[in-house]
Amino acid sequence: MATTPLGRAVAERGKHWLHAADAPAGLLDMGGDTLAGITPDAVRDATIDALNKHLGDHYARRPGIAPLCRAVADKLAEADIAVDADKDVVIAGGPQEARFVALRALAAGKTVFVPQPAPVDSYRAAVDFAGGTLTWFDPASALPDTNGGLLVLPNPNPATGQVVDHATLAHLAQWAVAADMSVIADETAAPLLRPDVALTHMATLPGMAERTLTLGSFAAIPGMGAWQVAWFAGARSLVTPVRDLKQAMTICSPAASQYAALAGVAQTATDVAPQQIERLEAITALLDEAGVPYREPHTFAYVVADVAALGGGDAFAACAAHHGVQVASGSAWGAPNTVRITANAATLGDALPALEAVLADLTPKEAQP
Amino acid sequence: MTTTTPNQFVSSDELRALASDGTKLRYALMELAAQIPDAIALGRGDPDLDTPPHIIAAAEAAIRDGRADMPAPAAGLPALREAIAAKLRRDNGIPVDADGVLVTSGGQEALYLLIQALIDPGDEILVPDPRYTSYDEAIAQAGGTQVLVPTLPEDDFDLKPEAIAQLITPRTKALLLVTPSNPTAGIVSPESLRGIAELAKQHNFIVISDEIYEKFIYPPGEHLSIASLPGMWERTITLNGFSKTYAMTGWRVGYVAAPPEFIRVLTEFKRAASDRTAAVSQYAALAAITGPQECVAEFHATYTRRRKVMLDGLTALGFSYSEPLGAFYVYANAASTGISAFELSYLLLREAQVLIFPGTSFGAKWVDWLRISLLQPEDVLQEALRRMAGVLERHRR
Repeated sequence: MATTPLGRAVAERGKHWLHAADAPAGLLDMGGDTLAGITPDAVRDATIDALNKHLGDHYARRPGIAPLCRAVADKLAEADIAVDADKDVVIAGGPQEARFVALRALAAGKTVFVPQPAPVDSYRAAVDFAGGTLTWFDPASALPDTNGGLLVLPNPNPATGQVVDHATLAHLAQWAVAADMSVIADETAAPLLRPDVALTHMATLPGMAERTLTLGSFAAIPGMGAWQVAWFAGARSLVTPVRDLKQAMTICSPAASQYAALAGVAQTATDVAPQQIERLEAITALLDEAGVPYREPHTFAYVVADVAALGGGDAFAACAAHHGVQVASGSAWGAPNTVRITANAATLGDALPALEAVLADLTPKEAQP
Repeated sequence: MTTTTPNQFVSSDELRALASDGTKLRYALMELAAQIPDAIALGRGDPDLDTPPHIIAAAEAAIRDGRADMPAPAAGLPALREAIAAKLRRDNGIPVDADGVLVTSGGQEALYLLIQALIDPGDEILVPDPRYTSYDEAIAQAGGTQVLVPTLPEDDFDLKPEAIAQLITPRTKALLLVTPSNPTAGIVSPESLRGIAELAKQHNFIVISDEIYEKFIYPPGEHLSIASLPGMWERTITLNGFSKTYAMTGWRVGYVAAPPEFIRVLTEFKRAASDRTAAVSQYAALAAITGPQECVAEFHATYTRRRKVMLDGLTALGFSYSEPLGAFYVYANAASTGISAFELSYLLLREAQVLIFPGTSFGAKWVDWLRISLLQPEDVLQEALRRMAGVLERHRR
């Protein structure tokens, strides 16, 4: 019960957007969509050097420090996405800020189509603020009949740990063109992809460059989640209103973090993937042993398991919390029979025995090996 | 000092067209100035002074020992929230604990979030005129209506309760006060704040108190936090940050203090909008607020000296102004020149390479006024004044 004028003014707000929260104190965090870890030494050294030159003291260039914008544009050019580094790339204060400003600026009054499952928690508030209507759809079924609207496509999808295959993506692109939709390609999880997994960028498909805003992130680079740096880039007609909102909201992104990201650009999946894949395999080995199905993960960060036979994602997450581990139930994103388990280096050692205990607790006795 | 201008300088009409609102006008002027190598920037409120070394050292330590790698909670590092609460109790008399503090990515994000949380479509929010127009977008996005409360040079831009009282309606949800003020450098006097507090309680509106310039007050000015007055903590959202006090604009750390039941909701807005504030910046902010404060006194002394240089210079040029009692700006009336503030800003940039914001970038009616920042060394301020004199000599009507 609110007891102050301020409490009463906001008593019913902000409660329905997010299922996820900070990991409760005392739980081992194995549920996030980024990898906790140690910032690479090269990133540390470069950032400290920038700080000592006082490059972090003052407002950064509003769209982002020029070399970082150029680095993003260069990465996109390698993927055949042409953007002007000066005008079409903006550095955001982390992936959630990029999602928020993109949706808040582009979803006004629109139907926003999101494939199910998807990390819809990350999108819902901005769509609400914008006065849009969030609508799930199943990419494998007949696509909704629409004229206009906005398609949001997480790829790789943190709700499945998978990339969208080329055929599905092409089908969605044709739909977007036919329905004259703009597209937000949420590729913030791309730095987590295993080196042997190819990502097709939505903006590279026919007719899509001029209607796609691509979101990317440095937070997915292991150890860089805390630095809060992401970006958005693409068609100028989409970038401009999103940029204006970002700048009205926070002026610019933290300068120190941008210098860290600049040094982090050189970090590639091949640097960290082998060790991470080993960590992930320690988790999948437990799932195999317990007979829990999962799709082969496309990222080296997390695996999404089908725990329908174990009571569903919420039951699994509750049992995990009982054993001191936080995992993410898929009920938050429309897949209530799944759970996402993240191979965080710092917590994996302690979490594995706990996960083993969870699987033992939830597996019916007659099904146990 | 030699001066140069780009060959292709926009016309004043082109500049007008570029700048459809006050914020866009300021940014358009800044972008023009950025093309001029020897421009003297007296526009933006970005301290030219370095972030103090002990703050940078603390950030470096957090990077080296791995603390900067660990994402902070959405509401902010617990130690930073504690330190902010302690500061607010000690310096401002605000009865807040750590659970009444939310750390944000700069003061502007703080304002954006709290407006989205508080204002419903059709709500009226009282805003002093002139105003920092960068807040307009946040209010517009929430569907709020700004009701401008006049502040007058003859009152030293104090925000008078009588002026507020005339504008209160059943739709009045909140009052935004900024003290010391950007752009006027006036302060809301303790007497006015007491009157405003009584109005807020009587008419049941919320007060948003932006105190980001609180550490830069000049005699006889006096800073009072309205949340410290009886019965006001329950209805006041105090907004502050590290950018101005510690020359830390690049680090992007601000904060909101309010009753915990408001902060809990606001934290959900923060989580939805940007999730969390960069950890390395928060460790720098922690060092700023818990470390030695001599740097703030030094900054204050520096701005005091610069203020005298600028005021003496403006007097010599025939400008009038009300005594700036806070912040690091001078809001000056250039009517004696016979040139509109917009035109004068344009001429000063084009012909003298001096960037000054016209009053119209802080409200449409301020056609004779200029906001001049003090964020250059004294010799550079002197040079700016010399250049301004040259322009006035050529164009004064």
